[in-house]
Amino acid sequence: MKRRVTFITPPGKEIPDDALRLTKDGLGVKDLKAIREERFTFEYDELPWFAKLLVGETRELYIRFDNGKDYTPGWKGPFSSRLPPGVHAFVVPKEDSELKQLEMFLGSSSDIQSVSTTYDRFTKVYASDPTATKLHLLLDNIAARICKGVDRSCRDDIVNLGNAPSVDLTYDPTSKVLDITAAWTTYGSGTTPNEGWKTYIMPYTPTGRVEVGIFSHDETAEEEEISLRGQIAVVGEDEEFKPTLFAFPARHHSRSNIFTADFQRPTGLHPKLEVTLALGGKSPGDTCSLNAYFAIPQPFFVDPYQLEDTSLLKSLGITALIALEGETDLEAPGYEMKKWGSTVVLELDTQHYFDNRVKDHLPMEFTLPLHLRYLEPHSSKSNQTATLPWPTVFWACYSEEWDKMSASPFDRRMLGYEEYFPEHTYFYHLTPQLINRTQAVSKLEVPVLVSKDGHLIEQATIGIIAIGFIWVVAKTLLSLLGVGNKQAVVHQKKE
Amino acid sequence: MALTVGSLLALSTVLRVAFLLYGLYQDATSPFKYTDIDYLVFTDAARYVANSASPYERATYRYTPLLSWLLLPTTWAPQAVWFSFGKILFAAGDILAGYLIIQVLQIYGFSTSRAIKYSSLWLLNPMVATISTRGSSEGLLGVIVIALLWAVEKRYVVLSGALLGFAVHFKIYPFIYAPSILLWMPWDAPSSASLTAKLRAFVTRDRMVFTLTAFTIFMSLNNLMYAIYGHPFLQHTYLHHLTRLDHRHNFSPYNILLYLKSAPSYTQSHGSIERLAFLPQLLLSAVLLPFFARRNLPSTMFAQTFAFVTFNKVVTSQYFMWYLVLLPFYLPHSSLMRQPAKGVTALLMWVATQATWLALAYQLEFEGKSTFWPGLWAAASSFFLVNCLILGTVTNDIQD
Repeated sequence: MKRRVTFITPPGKEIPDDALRLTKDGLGVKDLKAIREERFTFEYDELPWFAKLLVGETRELYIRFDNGKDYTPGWKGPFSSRLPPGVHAFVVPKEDSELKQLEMFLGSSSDIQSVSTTYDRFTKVYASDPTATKLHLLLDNIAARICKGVDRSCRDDIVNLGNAPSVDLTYDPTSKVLDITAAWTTYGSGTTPNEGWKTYIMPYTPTGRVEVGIFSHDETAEEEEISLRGQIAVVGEDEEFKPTLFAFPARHHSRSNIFTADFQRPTGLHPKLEVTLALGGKSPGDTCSLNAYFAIPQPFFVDPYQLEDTSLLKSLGITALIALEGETDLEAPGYEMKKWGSTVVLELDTQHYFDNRVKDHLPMEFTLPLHLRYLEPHSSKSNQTATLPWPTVFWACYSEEWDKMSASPFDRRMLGYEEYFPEHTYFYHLTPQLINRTQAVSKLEVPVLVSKDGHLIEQATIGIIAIGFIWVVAKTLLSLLGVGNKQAVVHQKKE
Repeated sequence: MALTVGSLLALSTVLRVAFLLYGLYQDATSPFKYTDIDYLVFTDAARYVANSASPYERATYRYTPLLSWLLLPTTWAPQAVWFSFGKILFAAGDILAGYLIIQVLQIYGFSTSRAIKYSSLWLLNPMVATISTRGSSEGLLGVIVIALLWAVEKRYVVLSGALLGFAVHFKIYPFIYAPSILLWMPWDAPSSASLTAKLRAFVTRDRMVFTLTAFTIFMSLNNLMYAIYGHPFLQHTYLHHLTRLDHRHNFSPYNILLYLKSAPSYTQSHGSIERLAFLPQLLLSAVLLPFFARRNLPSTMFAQTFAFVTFNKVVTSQYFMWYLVLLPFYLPHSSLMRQPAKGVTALLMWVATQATWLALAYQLEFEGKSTFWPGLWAAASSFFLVNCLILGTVTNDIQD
């Protein structure tokens, strides 16, 4: 097992003298306001049985959890790439593997989106609710195995990874290691955001080591680069921090732009998600395009044919539908669906914004037209809540230094949308702004039939049809037999 | 109003051209499209065909491949002109149907001016003009059905059979006309003859030719399409109608029941009575009503179609086109015309129950209100009962 802890302090803020206390035994951290990343690396042999089964059915495995909370607007530096709230898994299954363990791990709402036979193609799996997965169970199992007979903090640290806003599980079959990376993306301890970190970092075994780095982001860094200045130490070995400064080209950056989203009301059966973006009137560069990546769970779906209409797209603030994968059946009700939902990548129409809205200081806007599936009748309620994660919105720009990006110690690949952009792309992410809400999702009520009157509905329908049928049959027979037509005959004669 | 046939056709052409141009304008300027979604399905399918692919690669294409072949010109350049070809074709079909209505009415001894009056129910009907210029193919079916009626009345037996076979391949439901046409054909058996002799007399040369032609054309088209497109043709054109769930709201009285029972969680039910929905529908439209054929064939066909649509498990307003095209033949004999109060009441009830349904469906679809029960159900049931009342009147009106 290896552990790496990284703190990134807010720009321009000095670290208080008493915040860090390094000794040969450990590092005491007190009231340190910083974004924090924890990275644990486990050898295959260290893993518990459950985790071995999970990674054993794959050639490559990336599972990402995002809770859709705890964003820091204006943040610049590493850990900029977030995903739509939910669970996003990208795997290369072993031949013949049906990914049963993965399905179980992700819980009942998951969807194996495209199990492909060629192993160079990734299979994507999604699930809506990170808390419904077995992440905590997995961490518990790992901790139980690794932390046997060592300090209690070992267990706490590992289990606590599951509480971070963003958690990545990565398995590399070549080196046979499982990486678990957790990022707390606000300047605080996560649970109480205004409080700094208070923790004691120490090796769990006498020979163990923990790499720790405490940095601030140098905002004067060159475009495409992240520059970190600070101090590093190996806890368990060093008694003093070493000052350090390093810079590297990075694939993902933040831009100090925010966006917010909500449904147009009333929502009906064809809801429209309106996204409002504060772009500040500027694009990061001439080569950049603005894009949105949606993970859309059913009961929502988009109509690919509707999104082919360029004049409609223009009115929605969209330039093109770049990708649509997953479930696109246009008619089936939700309860007939086997798959989890679909993913959408849109290129947004910034031209209209720059030409028409910037001068009036209006924000950029775009709208995603969605449709709802029919949901199951409910025994007592006349509606069911449906939740749509907000998209991630980013500028995709052409990079000169793209081939060096994987050297970044924080590089993150396989997020679900990079494959639709050229290899030499780097990304500027916008930050969701949560106003009057705690999570980057929008909810609506889907009207459903109340089934408690089911019997009555059945009987009344049969009754109505019987009445209508008998009436028509009676009139027909009477007419065929020539009864009761005298009046009509008389009328005809008069004519 | 002294209209000539020529000026009526000119007027209905002007009406359709105006609707078409208005539609182009609305499509170009508004995100709310005039063009029917189905037209996009047809034209997409035609594009697949143009690229030597199957029209069934377009999701929700549930029609004969013939339709996508007919619409191949919609894929030609310049699109600004050719894309509307299908709408022009459908609208032309409307007008031809209207012209044939006049021809057939004249066969029945209508004066030209009276034929013009009744055919304008179709030709100058804004609903008909809207539906075809929005790109719905139902008008095309109208012209086939009227052509069938015309051929039957002209005693073109082979042509009648061919048209029927073609119509059934195109949209299944015209098969209900087969028994009425067969019963309408002359049956020369003395009333004193024995039952077997009567039955033997029924099997005439004309009936054989008509049946065989219809069957041959129907099966040849199916075989041809199956040879080209294989199982997807069968699945989407025919089998789909057996397996579809029909849970989305529509005018049918069965609709809420079907939604309720399609849900796996609904287990209180005792039986699946809705599986027998075809029974009342076919008993009326294909068994009982054809016995009116000897009295008045087109009125019988009107009643059959009306019953078929009323008792169908899915009812949308496009299906009303199916019987509307036959209305000019029934109305002259109708008590709804002779007794204006009765006629106006029937029309008002037909419109009012439909409008109630539409208002509730709007609340569901656009305001997200759960109006399924009792609202939508009651509206659909009332509309159904009104249709049954009208149907009762229709059957009472068909006299010798």
